[in-house]
Amino acid sequence: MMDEEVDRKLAALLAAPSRPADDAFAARVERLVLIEERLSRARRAAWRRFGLEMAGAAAILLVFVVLERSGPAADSAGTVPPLSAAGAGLLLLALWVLVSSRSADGAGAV
Amino acid sequence: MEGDESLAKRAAAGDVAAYTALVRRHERRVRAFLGRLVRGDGADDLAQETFLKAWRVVGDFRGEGSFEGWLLRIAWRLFLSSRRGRRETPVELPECADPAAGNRDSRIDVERALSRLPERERAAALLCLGEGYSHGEAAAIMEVPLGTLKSLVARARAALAQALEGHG
Repeated sequence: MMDEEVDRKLAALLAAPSRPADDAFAARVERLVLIEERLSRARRAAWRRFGLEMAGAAAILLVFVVLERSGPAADSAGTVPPLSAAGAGLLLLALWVLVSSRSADGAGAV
Repeated sequence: MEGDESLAKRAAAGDVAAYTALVRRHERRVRAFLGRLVRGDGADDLAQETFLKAWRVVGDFRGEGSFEGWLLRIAWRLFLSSRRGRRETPVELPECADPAAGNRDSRIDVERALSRLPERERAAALLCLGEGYSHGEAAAIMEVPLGTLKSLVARARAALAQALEGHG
């Protein structure tokens, strides 16, 4: 057999079969891609939430450290000094509002 | 018809419909390639994995080669990592591209010879002898030096030609 004939026959035997596109396969892949996208959005939202909560926890720790280092509260005469138990409470309240509103945003995005 | 590169760019921007168009366009060759590499079941699972992996990294496709070549490179890598620890089963004869090209006996003998080849020779034969990829493109897909690829193709061709000539 001539080389060209061998090559021609091998090409015909080894080439992918000609057929129309397999829509069922393409649909399966599309479903997997959509699931993957949803999971990756949920993962990103979870990481964002985790980051915010960690930042909140670090801020709370920082407040406790600052309060512990500051001396006893002076007479405030009606104002709330930032380095006092009431100031720390207000800061915690603000952080809680921030974290919970961000968490709600993240949950809505998924 | 929109080109692969443009569809890939849209897919990289999150357009799932554009990516599905690419899947429809290229699944036939990717599945045929894997079907002959994977002995036994698992070729379609690997093909799905290939397209899913490609979706994750479609932004990396720079259009320097063909999109199909890029997909086949991912398929080849996944095949190499999946074959570890897998028991090989006798190869199932896939459909022939051109049934008139030879009688059934020669086809069976060539398929047998193909299944006996080491996997790198098998892949090189499928890419260069079956799908008409140039040696350079096939070397890029299989990530081997050009000289190595040429040797793989030459050895595979000799074995397959011998099987074919047994019926010539």
